[in-house]
Amino acid sequence: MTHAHGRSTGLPISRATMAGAATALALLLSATALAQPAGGGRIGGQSQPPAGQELPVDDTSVEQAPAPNARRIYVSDPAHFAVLTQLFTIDGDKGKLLGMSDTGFVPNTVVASDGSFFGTASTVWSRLGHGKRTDYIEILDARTHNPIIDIELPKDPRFLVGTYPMMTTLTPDNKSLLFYQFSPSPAVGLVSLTDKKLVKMMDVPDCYHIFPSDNNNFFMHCRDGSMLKVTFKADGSAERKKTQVFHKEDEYLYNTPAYSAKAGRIVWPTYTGKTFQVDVTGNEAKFMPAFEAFSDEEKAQGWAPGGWQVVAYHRESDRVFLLADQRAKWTHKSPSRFVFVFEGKTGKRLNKIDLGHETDSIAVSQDKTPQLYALSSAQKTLFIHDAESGKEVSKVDRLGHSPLVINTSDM
Amino acid sequence: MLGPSRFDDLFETMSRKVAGHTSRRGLIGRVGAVVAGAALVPLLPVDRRGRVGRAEAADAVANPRGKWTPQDHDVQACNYWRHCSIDGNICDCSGGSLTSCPPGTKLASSSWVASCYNPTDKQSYLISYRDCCGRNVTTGRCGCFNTEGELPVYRPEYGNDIIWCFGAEDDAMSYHCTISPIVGKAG
Repeated sequence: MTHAHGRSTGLPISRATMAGAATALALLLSATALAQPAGGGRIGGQSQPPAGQELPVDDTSVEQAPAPNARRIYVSDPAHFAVLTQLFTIDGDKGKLLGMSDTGFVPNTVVASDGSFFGTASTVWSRLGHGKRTDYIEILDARTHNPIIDIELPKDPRFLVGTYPMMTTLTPDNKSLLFYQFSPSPAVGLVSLTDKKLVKMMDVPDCYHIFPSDNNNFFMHCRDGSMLKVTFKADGSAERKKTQVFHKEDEYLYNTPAYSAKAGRIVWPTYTGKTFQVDVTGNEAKFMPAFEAFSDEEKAQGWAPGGWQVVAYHRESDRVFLLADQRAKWTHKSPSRFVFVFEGKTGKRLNKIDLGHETDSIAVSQDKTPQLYALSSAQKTLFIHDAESGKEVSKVDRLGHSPLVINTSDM
Repeated sequence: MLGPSRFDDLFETMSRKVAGHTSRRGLIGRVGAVVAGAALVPLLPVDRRGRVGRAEAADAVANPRGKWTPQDHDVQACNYWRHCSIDGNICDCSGGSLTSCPPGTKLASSSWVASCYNPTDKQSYLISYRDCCGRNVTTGRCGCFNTEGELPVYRPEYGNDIIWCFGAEDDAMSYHCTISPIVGKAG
């Protein structure tokens, strides 16, 4: 390629010089386009000075997101298994997109229990879809969105699966991250965010999901229908103990249960709406009576849960939110248009909300007057509803290719 | 360190009779063997009765909650009968076929399975979905999300959310598309 040279001097014209000239021209044209009406005013959101005066020179900066609160939302877009994906940060109060973060293949999001940071467990390759694989944990500051911790995981241990929130999680003190390994053997990786390293892969039996009940204990759900308690030390040494079997083989539990570590409550519906709840406070699994979300008559009419994240739990009000619709059998991951609200303790139905749109995933904020978040992958939109009335209060659209997973803080 | 093999576990835990204990360190685990183990998955003693694909119903494309209605003439359509539990892209749309991966991708040796109903001969067949790996999909062609007989992740042999690229050449684990070969008759 031929470099550009000034004819008169023979000196090369630097790219910076050209870029500077182009920028100046662009600014000039821009200023012309914004030429103010006589007497000043506002055009295009800019304050316009009175006639005859120039616009002031602008200062430029990089924004910081506001301090996170219970209505801070993170929406992950796995983009139909693309290797380069995005995580969207949203302010639920304002219904406003605050920022975006880079994520990789089937990323798992975590959010600190005080909201102070968020992060992802992700996988990338050196040549986009191929080449050297790298699994890593990246933790970002909730305000600046700058990385504050970056940990490469040796031996590529991540379970690559359509993103389930409770396959990667934080301990309540936010000092350790736990992630699941599927192959070559089932294990849970213990990552110290303090020491910024993978401590150990802790062997587990054929169990899945990770529910930390305190900083040294977590529960898993096993193939045989029991729960597994794992008690671990800082060095990754662990003891394991199984509970009783609590559901039948043909009671298929959704891949995306709701969990509040602060309440110590796991809420876990089946494909038909039978909803199991496990109280793990005190590091003991106590199985609450399961409730049926739908009567036999409603089941005969086709009412059943459906979507990706089909259940949410509000800690203070002890309310269970279940995404459901009338559907044929084996459409358990197809979107739904309704949310049924139940009292957790009794399973009593309190409300039925017509969202008015197809919804793949739901979540709730944990403040006193919670918001209900309803994500439509097809519309690429997060709808924000009042959780009590069900009324839509705002929405955020253009969320990537196929946004699927909502994460909020249990703050 | 050699550890217990995931596929050893799968083989071992197809029946809940043996599912109540910790994973063992067996022969397949000692050979390492995602590949060897993965190759066993289609041979596992799958229950072929309970989740046979169904015929006759509303169009699932028009109604996401409608009953699965398979057809036997358009391989690139999501309701083609063999695709009854596919979650991803049909390889036939991307340079492959029902049984072959597109050029440049790597064929996994592991799979998940489903029983799909062929409306033409009115028989159900066991389909062993195999992923083609090692190439990105920014915008996949013929993306489908079918869940006939699809079970939760703790029954992974029927789970279609998993990236089933285990055993692919070069350890390719990025997902590109899925093929739908028949491995036997169901039912």
